[in-house]
Amino acid sequence: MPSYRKGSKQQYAVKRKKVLSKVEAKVKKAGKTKATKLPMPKPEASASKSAATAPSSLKGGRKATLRFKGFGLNIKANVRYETEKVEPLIKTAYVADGKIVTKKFIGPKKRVAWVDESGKEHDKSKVQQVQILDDGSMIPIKIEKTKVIDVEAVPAKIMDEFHPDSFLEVWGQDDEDIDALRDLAFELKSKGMVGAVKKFSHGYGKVYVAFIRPILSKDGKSFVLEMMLSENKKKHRRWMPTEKALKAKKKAEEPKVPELW
Amino acid sequence: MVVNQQTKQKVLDYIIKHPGASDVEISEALNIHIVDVTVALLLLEDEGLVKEAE
Repeated sequence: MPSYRKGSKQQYAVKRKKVLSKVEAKVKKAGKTKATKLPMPKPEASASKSAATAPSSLKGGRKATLRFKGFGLNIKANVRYETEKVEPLIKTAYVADGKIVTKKFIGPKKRVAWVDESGKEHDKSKVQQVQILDDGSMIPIKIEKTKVIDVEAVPAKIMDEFHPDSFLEVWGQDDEDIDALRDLAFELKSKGMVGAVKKFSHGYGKVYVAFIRPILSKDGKSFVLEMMLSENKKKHRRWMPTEKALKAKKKAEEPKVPELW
Repeated sequence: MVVNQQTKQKVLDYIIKHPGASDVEISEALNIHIVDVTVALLLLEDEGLVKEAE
């Protein structure tokens, strides 16, 4: 049986070109085909209404369009997304003379500049982003903020192989968008799958692979779409033996003294 | 799911020709997205056709 190994190369996502398989191309070509809805569990009407009429929690965020084709669904929803902000469980601070202090640049005013290894400053207008290939060559690239989030269904355990960088929440802008996301969430959940987004960027020079995981509330009346961003796959290097090391060593025995008399 | 038989076959052929190749290497060599390669490897492993190197 041939074997492979899990590898890791930094900034992998930046290197990838979008490759459309023949199947994808066909799906794209037949994009206008009418979607047929599969029978699926729907939350109670009251729950749907409560989600749609909760504008305070569904405002803000950045706008994008989410697209998904599969399971008889053809979704194109206006969504918003935002990084999940969490308060630290253990809050810490630095204190001096009874007052909380933080590190800041003070004194003579400093400015940010583009400088090379020798310290020579370069004009901002001449700076462009490049991709550094394995052989050291560089090709110019332009990374723009993702406006269309293309989602594909993949087995949920695929997500575990990718190193989490950050988590976002994705939600529908209007009632119809929320309905579309609900269909997607229930389909993914019922099939044990997650949504893979092969290319996602905030537009600040980094490109991620993303995974959208539906999370249902305990009562099943509401749901959240959590999007995990990843720059690369996990790479574990410190493998330890599962067998106990101490057990393997034989316990030293007491030396036996021969009885001469 | 996007990964089809053709993708799986390409990945399998590559591993047969390049035993011990990493998933990232496979992805770059075949110009197939890492997510698709990962899915293909998962399916091939489930079918008992390949295994992850120790």
